[in-house]
Amino acid sequence: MNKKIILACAVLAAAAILTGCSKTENSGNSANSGGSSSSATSAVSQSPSEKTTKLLTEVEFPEMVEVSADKLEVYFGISADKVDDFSVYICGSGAMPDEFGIFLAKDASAAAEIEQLLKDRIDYQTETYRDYTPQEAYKLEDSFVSVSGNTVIYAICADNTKAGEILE
Amino acid sequence: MPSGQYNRNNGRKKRKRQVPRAVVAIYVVMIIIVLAICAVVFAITLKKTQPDSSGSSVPVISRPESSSPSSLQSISSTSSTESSSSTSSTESSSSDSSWSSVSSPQTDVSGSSSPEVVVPTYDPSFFEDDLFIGDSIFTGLYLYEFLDMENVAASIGYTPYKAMTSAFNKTYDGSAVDYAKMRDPKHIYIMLGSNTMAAGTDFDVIVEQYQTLLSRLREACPESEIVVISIPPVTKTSTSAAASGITNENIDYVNSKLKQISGIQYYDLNSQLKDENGYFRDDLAEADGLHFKGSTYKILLAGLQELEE
Repeated sequence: MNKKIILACAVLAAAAILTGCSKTENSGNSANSGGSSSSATSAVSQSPSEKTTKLLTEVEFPEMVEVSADKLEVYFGISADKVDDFSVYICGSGAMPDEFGIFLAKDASAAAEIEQLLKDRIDYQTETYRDYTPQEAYKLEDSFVSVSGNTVIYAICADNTKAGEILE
Repeated sequence: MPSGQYNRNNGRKKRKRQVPRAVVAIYVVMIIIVLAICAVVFAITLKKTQPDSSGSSVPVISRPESSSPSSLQSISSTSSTESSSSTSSTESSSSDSSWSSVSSPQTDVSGSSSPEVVVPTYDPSFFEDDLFIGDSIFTGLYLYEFLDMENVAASIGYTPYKAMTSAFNKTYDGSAVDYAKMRDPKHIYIMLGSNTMAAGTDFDVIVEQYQTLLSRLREACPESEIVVISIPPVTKTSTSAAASGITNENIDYVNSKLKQISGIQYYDLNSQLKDENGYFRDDLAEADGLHFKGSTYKILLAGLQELEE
């Protein structure tokens, strides 16, 4: 009888362990769009929009506006047909240089083109805000544009290091 | 055969070997611990995957979904906990430009309260034949997509003098005056002067430059109605204004001179933006105490529409 009890308890424990681990994996996946079953890769599977939304909550920003597809070329010179997906935010009032974004380019060539356009934009913004709001210049000093495969990210904000960690 | 043993087949009883109670207890305790660990892990994971509904501190203005002439899409925003408190806009689907007075919020710069700001509505199509000339503040008109970019000739650092001489963006080589001549708008709305004041220019010189700009615009666009909008106020704690030497007293002085310019219509926006102490309301101002929050543009546009109707 005791053996049966012990065996039953062992089976119950095993079931509980497997259920808990399974729930951990499934819960981790539900937060991501089509992510793998591994929580370690869930960050990679996040969409651009999810990453930029997360960045907005983790770094201090002024009032920001999300850039629509039809404004991509007007503001950045980036043709919408060069990207599969993107998410970009800029300061709505023009008061501060804060902006950031992530672009999933269609191919390496498009990624390189986007990278250069963003670098040109940062140069332009640096020139503009250097004299206009010197107290905001620090955001531009360590701003960055980074390319990984066909993914291009950039940020001009109060914590560009953190922005890079979140957007990557 | 030893005593105590029993074989059923032979009628003898077999003594059962008993597991010590201590061992059983240890097994049970271990199982309980495992179950507890699983429960904790599950709870933590469940908490992480739940959306943050605790009142995001993300200052975001969503874009208007359309520029339908019959309605203004609600623009909701949540504000940073360090800047002005959150606002909400009431939306009217009517194309009527009538609006209720903006309520005086219970302003709290610490963000401990969340006052409601009733924001008026306007008809975006009302301004489709107009031109807005201004500085960085006016760039928000198209950045927030309240107006099309083609209706705005504005640039960071723009002044009355630059509006006559310098380009305002990379897509058009000419000055704002050149652009106005090309566009021949129905109305020309101008809000300039903050940058000139920040540069320490003599106030009377600022007014002279403004008059020169207005003369150039009348010459370029003789049929256009020109509206000069008051130079906006600054908040009590505006570091940008303090660094630039801009005060509300100085602003009021220049505005009083602009109001006296003949041949133009003057719109006193500041009466909508100031608190009871004469400062730019914190809930309407960006963190620098000088630029506009998104909702402030709606106040501006609604007021201009009402002015013209």
